[in-house]
Amino acid sequence: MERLLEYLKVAHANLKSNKKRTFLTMLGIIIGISSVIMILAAGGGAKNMINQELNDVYSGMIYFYIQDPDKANMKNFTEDDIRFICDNAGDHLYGATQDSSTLAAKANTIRGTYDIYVGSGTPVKEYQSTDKIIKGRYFNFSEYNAASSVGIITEALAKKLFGTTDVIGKSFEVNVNNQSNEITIIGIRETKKSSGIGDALTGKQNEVIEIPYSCLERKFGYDEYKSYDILLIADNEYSMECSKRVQKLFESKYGVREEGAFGIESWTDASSQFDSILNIITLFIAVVASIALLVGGIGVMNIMLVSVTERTREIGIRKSLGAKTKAIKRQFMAEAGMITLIGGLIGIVTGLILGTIICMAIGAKPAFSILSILLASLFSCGIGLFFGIYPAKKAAMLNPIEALRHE
Amino acid sequence: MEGESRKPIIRLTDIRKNFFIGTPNELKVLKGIDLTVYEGEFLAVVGASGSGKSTLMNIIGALDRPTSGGYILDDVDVISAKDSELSGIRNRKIGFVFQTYNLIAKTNALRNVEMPMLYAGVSRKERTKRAEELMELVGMGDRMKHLPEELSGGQKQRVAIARAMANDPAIILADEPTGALDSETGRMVMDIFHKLHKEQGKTIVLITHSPELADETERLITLKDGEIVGEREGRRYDDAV
Repeated sequence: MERLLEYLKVAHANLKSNKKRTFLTMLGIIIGISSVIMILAAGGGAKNMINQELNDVYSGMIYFYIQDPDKANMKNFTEDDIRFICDNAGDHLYGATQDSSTLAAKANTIRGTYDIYVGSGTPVKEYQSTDKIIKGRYFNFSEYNAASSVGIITEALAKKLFGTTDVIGKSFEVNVNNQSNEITIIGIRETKKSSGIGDALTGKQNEVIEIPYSCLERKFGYDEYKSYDILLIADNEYSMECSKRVQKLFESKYGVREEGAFGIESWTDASSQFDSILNIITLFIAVVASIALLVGGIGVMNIMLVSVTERTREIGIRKSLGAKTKAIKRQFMAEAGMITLIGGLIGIVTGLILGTIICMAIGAKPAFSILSILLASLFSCGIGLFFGIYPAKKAAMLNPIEALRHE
Repeated sequence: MEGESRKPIIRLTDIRKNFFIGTPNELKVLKGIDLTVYEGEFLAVVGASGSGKSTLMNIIGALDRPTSGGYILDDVDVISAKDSELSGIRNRKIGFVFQTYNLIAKTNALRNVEMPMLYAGVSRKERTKRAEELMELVGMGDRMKHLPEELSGGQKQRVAIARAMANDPAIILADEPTGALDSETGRMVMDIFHKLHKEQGKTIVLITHSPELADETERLITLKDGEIVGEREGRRYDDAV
């Protein structure tokens, strides 16, 4: 123990006596370690953030479609099918809505004409987004059945059209599919702050009015909905259970006997796929960053070899004073170890700081994992020892007579 | 002198050392050296450069192995010792004093003196205490914390002698210890050797090419072309110190 302390002291003195060189050698390790930690933290943070934003849009959504019309005994879902699910939803399932696209539209108010988007569906659509209704209410089934001209607009749209969110009961003209109708606002949906990355991925718009699909169909003469898909809205963690239940409902309704009639695609599946893609990207970048670490390690080896050459005479003296091969080896290992250890520590701190800065810049919460920090530290110590071994051995094996003669 | 009752501390028998063995350039540097050095003896080995002095010193100092021959140092068979055991022999049985001092730079005088004790596993406290005593002994008590570069040649050599004494070795092996010093400081260094020899009964082997210095020792042997060609008592041994 005492001798270890001595090795460390000698190592420290040697490193200190050549500060610039020591720092430059450490720099390789610092860059390597900090970039690994930074990338893992920023990657993790970005992943969490994108996941959260995607979750806001897609959580609890299940695409339910006819995979094989022959087995399913029908060609496409109808309005009746959607109502059938809404009426028989059961626990954790809000019901079904049309998988309808969000349409580009114009809004005419006294202030002027604006570009907006129109979303449509059944009253179940209220639960499709995690953005809450903060004022008023969503349209209900009696309004849906009546194809009422009512709508829920987003906070962002309210501010754009009226400059305020105090707009319940106000109406404005919506033009879509070349037809215009007055829509009365009955509710406001919040507009969450987002990084835009999630929105870009999902195509989510912030300036949207949601109206009953029946209204879109009957009052605007829109009949795009001829797809084979319906959208189920469920509590996310019960997606699988709910979709199975819906499948059974349809199977008994249409007398389906074979498997493979219906297809199910839930967000849970998609998000885990998405997760693994992001994980692979993060891992790939981390591997690239580890190359920096490797280069840093080679730098340590290089400088240790130089140090052995420079201190050949000192090694000879130490040997003549009775230093065993092992002692010389340990001394050089201590030096390599110290460079990588200190470099590693600085690298970890730098990585944490840079990771936080990057995450703050993209608006994500940094995701530092103890595991990644631990791995990076172990890796850096390993590199120090691994790349220290060769020069240390070289030093220890020096012939004392030749070493003493060395100038 | 009680010569017969003295204990042999170095016993070299038929030591040979060849270099470039098996090549056409094979070089026979030592050609069968028989030498016994007794405990407490002050011996000089003289010879011109190329006579094999340095090779002999390396072998006595356990830095090198002879090609053949026997070597017993303080009852230990050096020939059959493993490399790690040779380190131990150098550490505890031999104190080197080199012409070029060979102090470790960037390490202060006291730490230099402590170093052999460090490798011997002596505790820090004890190391420091003994090193301080030795520094006093060589008259360097007031310069313990100086770095080698801050010391004069004579001072460096005195630190080196203190270091050689650190583990109380069986012999002190001095290779041209005054070779790099002017005559005045050289004199001072020689006086320290005499002091160690007389007061502490140290066995000292002095390797030198200077006949004057060699004459100050009890016995001097002359090396020529790898063989001992002469042996006599020092003429001025009794005058010294």
